[in-house]
Amino acid sequence: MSGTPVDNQIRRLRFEHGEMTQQALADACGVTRQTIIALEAGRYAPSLELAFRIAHAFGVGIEDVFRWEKP
Amino acid sequence: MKIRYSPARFTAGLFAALIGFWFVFREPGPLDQSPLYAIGPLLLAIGSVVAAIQFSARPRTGVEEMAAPAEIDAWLALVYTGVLIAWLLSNASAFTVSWMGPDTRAASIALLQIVVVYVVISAVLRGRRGKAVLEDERDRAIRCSAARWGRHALIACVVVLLVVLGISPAYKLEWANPPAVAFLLFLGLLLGWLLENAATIVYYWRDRR
Repeated sequence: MSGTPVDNQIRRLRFEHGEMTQQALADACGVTRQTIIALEAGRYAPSLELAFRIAHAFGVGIEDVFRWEKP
Repeated sequence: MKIRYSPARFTAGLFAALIGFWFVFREPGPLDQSPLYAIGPLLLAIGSVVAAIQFSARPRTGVEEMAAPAEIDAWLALVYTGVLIAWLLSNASAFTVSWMGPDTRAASIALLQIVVVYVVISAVLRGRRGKAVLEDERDRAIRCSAARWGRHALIACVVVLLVVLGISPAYKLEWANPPAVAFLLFLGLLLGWLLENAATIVYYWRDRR
């Protein structure tokens, strides 16, 4: 549950979407705010379904949010 | 009906619950022979419910913002499992030596009240959270990892009991009547649950660092 090779742009995308709050994103994706915090800090790699949900909440493709960093 | 938060009522409830805890764990005295024997668990129950209702009406705090609902539930379960285990150990004779005696009845009522208080507090907390997401995939992953610890603790308890009962000579097993063995198995179950909740809290803590 820590040290994931999946990098993400969630924080940047939140600010680009009218400074969307973590709680608003969490509500849009059906997760807790603590999970968004863990994702932003790179401590948790989401499931494929959650990754799609997050990308959908921002209206972008999944590859615009997540990037796999080869260890 | 909307309940307004009052720090005085919250403190009074908490204070009553603490006195209830003291009654539950105090040395047996003349009070136990009277119908007032249930005063401890009753105070614990009423105090906890009042405190929980007041807590539910309180504005959200920093801790609630920081901790996931499942983590708060794990803390609550850890405290109550700890209380239950401590209480069971301090009243072990009621469930083993004097099985089905008057002590067992009083102890069973107290035990039931502790469990009811836990259920009521959990329900109040659930009500407070409304339609918020209570558990997501990260919580489930943590719960799954923590459950392994609980399962292993339970297996260890059962194996230890099996070995003790299996290899001890008969004259050393006079204590091992069916209620005593059932009591130990129940204790093993609770220890497993205690470790599972403790592991859940550690996983959340590690995840936050």
